[in-house]
Amino acid sequence: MFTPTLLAQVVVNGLSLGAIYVLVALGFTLLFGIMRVVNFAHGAFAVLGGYALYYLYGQYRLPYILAVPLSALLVAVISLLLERCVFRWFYQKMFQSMIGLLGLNMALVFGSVIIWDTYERAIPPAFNGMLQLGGVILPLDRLMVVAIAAAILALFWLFMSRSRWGLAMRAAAQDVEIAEAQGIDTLSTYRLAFFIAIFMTALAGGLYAQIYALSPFMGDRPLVVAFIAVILGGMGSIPGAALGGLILGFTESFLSTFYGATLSAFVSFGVVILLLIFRPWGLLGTPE
Amino acid sequence: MALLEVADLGVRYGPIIGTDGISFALDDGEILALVGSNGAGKSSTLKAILGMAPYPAGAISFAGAALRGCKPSEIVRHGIGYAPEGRRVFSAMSVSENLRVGGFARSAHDNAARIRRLYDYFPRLAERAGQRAGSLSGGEQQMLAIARALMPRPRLLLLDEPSLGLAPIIVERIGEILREIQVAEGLAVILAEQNANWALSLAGRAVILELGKVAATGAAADLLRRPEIRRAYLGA
Ligand SMILES: Nc1ncnc2c1ncn2[C@@H]1O[C@H](COP(=O)(O)OP(=O)(O)O)[C@@H](O)[C@H]1O
Ligand SMILES: [Mg+2]
Repeated sequence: MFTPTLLAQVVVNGLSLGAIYVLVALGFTLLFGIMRVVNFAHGAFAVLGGYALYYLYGQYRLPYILAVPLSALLVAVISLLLERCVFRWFYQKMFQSMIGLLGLNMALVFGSVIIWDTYERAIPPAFNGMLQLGGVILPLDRLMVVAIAAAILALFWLFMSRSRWGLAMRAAAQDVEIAEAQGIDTLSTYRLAFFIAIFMTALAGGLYAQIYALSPFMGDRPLVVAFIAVILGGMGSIPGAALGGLILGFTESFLSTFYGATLSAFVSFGVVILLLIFRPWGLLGTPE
Repeated sequence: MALLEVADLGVRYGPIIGTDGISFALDDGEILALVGSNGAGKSSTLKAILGMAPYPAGAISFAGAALRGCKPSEIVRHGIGYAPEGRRVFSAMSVSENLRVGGFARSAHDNAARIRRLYDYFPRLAERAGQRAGSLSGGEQQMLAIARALMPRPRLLLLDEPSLGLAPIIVERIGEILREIQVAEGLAVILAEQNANWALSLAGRAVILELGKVAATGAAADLLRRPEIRRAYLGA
C-alpha cells in the first residue's frame, strides 16, 4: 500500500491541509496573543472567505491568482465593521470574549444560511492536471494551495519580523501598556492585528472550500482544528500555531488515508489531551 | 515658563487615592528627585504625567500644552520618555529591537543613528545588541529601559525607581551615565526614588512625597542638610 505515489500524495495533502490550518491558527493565535480575545467566530470568517471566492472566482471568473487574495481582502475590509461594533468591546476580556464571539459565530453562520441556504456549493478547481515528477504523480490544485499558503506565510513572517508595525504588534503582545507608553497606539495596533488575522482566515477558508465543499457550516472544522493547533503549540505563540497546524494537517492526511477519518479525529484530540496533561503550556508556549 | 507644570494633581484609582494635591514645576535640563517611601505616590505622579493614570483633580502642562485627555502614545510624541518601575523591557525581543520599539514614532534612518549614539552612552548594551532582553542582568535591563525611553530624543525623561534591586556599584554607574546624557542633551529628568541619598546626590531640586502629599521641597543640597529630613528619609 505504500507506493511512492500514494506516499507523495499523503505528503502533499498533509502539506496543503496543514498550510490551511496554519493560516487559520495563526489568525486565531494573533487575536488571542495581542488582544486576549478567544475568537469562537473564527470559522465563520473562513466561511465568508469561501463565499467571497465562490463569487469572485466561481461566478465572476476573475483570474484565480487575483481572486484568492482579493476575496480575503474583501472579507477583511468588511469585517473591520465588526471590529468597530463587536470585537472592540471584548479586547483584554478573555472570558466575555468567548461568550460574545460564540454569539457572533451563530449570527454569522445563520445569517449565511439565510442568504445562501444550507446546500453545498463547489468552487471549481484552479487546475485539473497532474504533475509528474519522476515516478510520482501529484495533483496540481493541491500544490497550488501549498504555494499560495506558503507565499502568504512568508509575507506574514517578513512583516512580523522586519516591519515597524510587526514590531509594534509583538511589543503589544508582550506588554500593551508599555508599548503604548513607547508611542505605539494600542487601538491602531489591535485593528491591524484583527485585519491580518481575518485576512489569513478568510484566505484559508477560500482554499478549504475549494478542496472540500462550501456551506455555512464549513467553518466548524477549521475552527476546532485551529483551536487544537493553538493549544498544541502554546496559546499566543506564533511559531507554536504554525507547528501545531502542520502537525494536525499531516496527522489528518496520513491517518485518514490509511485508517479513515474517524480514527484521525480521535487521535488528533487524544494527543492534545495527553499533551495538556503533561505539558499544559503547549509545545512552544511558556508556562505561566 | 517652566517645561513641566503639575498643579494640584489628584490621582484616583476608583476610591483609592494615588496622589492628593501635588504641585511642582520643572525647567528644561533640570534633574528633579521625587522621593518618598513605598506608596507615597511617586509612580502615580509619573503615570499621570504620561496619561497612564486618571486624575480627576488638577492639571498637567508640558511645554505650554495641557496634557489632560491625551493618550500615552500621543504624550510620548510631545517629547516625554518613560522608563517604568520594574524596567519592563520586552524580554522576548533583542536589545536592538527593544530600542526600535522606543523609536517607533521615528524613521528607520533616525533610529539607526540614535541607536549608535545610545550605544556610546551604554557600551554594555552595544555588546549585547543581538541578545534577548530577558537574558540581560538587572542592571543591563535598567540601562535598556532608559535607553529605550531616550530613543525619540525626549526633552523630559521620567525614571521610576531605576535603582530598585541593583547593586550599589551599578546604581552609581547608571547615575554617571544619566549625568553625562543630561549635560550632552540638555535633558530634564524626574527621578522617582526610594533611594533618597542617591537621588538627592544627582538632583538639583527635590520634592519629598508622603501619603500622596508634598511633605517638603527645595534644593537637593539644602534638603540633604536639614536634620529632620536626614532622619526621616536618609537613614541618618
Ligand atoms: N493600579 C492601582 N490601583 C489601585 N491603587 C493603586 C494603583 N497603583 C497605586 N495605587 C495606590 O496608590 C497609592 C500610591 O501608589 P504609588 O503611586 O505606586 O506609590 P509609590 O510609587 O510612591 O510607591 C498607594 O496607596 C497604592 O496602593
Ligand atoms: Mg512606585
